[in-house]
Amino acid sequence: MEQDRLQAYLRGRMGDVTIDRVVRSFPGLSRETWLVCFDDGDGVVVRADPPGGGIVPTPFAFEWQVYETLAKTAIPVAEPLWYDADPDPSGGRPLFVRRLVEGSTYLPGLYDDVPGATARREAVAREHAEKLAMLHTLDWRAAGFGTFIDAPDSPADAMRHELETWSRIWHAVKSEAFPVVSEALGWFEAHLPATGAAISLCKGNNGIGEEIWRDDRIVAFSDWELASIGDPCNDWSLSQGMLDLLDRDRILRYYEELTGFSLLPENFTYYRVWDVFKSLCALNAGLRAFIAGENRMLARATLGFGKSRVFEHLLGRVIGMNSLDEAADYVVQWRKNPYHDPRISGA
Amino acid sequence: MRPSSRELIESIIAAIDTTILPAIAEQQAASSLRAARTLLEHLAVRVEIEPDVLTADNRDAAAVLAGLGDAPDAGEGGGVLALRARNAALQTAIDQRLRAMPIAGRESPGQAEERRVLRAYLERRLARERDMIFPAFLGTPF
Repeated sequence: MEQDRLQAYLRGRMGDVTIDRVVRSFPGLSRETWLVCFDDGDGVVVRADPPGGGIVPTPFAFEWQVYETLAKTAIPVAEPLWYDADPDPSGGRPLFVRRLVEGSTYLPGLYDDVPGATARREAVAREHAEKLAMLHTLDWRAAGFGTFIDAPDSPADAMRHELETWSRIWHAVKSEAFPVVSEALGWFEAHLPATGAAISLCKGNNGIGEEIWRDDRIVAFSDWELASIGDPCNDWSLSQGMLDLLDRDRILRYYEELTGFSLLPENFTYYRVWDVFKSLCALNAGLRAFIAGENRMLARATLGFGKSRVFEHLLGRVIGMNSLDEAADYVVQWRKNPYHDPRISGA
Repeated sequence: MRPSSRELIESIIAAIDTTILPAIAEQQAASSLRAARTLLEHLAVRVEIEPDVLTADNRDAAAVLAGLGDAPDAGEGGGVLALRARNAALQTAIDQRLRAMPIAGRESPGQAEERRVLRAYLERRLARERDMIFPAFLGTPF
């Protein structure tokens, strides 16, 4: 995004602002995120739909709607400013603008073995659990989320609803036929748990690498493209290693005290395996624009083709297993959060 | 012809690791190079084995489908592009059969047997292409 065009655009919307610097957020794979700092110390974040559309197969405007609705609640998010369907600085690709929140998506040194490390990791884990509890106990109906997010009828229906929703998405966006995945969807249906803990607003990917952290506190939840209404276990399965910071049972007990929910172990296990399919679906969806020549970003190939194939192999093993626990134990050993790689996070 | 495609690609990977990547400080550029390196690691294997993998898989998939009453075009030869196109068509046919079946445990005995045959084929397919996927794509994706 050219700074001059962006400055002219922002002045047209915000008045006399002067850009001091523009930095593209790293890695910003799913959607382009630009951090714009003004010379007076304020700033905005410009989030734009990338060429060929985002990797995650949900509409760009949906994420804006989530921000706009969340901003009227107590959930910490950056203040949404406006949505533009046909802006100049991104060459007509839709964008939305939110207020810049000071902080970082990474927590430098969190995994270092230094004095006080255990206490720090515990504090971070508890902070994350507290904020997730706040989100999951939000009255999403009263907040208006039911008007634009399709919700399951009951906690018992939540996982079937998720399965059907993402099966439809998969068959609409997959890059080619994946018979293993078709068979895996049957496996997920055959292993659906009987009930759920609650129906909550869920964020999708969350934790380190996703939110804005400052002084080890979450000051803004970010990136809502995978928001849904469903079983809160789903969010815990996408919590990017937060359960490895401390004894997992202790974190979950703390969360349960805060929410009043009882997370069902079977559901928890189910979502850990389900996440393999959902990740495969989301990543492979981004490959369409690569194949069409609309977006040749290399990570679209390593993720949309390479990681998708790795996940296909995992599912190929899973469909031969009769036990959810066995399947979860198997996939967990292969899942690695790239944000925990210091070459990527710099932390 | 020497060096082989694999040897050339592996030499590019070595240059990236030892000379180029350590010299790149800019985050997005280094990330692109890591992704490029991962893709090269995949290609080093793929250029050597893909035609054989596709040929074997097309034969296997066609035989499986024929055994289930279909009459697929197994075809032979025609270069890697033709092999890939044939493979895509065969995968679509296998996929359609699986999607038409009830979930495991609710099939008729005939459908259960068909599922057993198709799953056994899928296992063979995954084993065939495994070396093109692992370990290349266990590395850093970006």
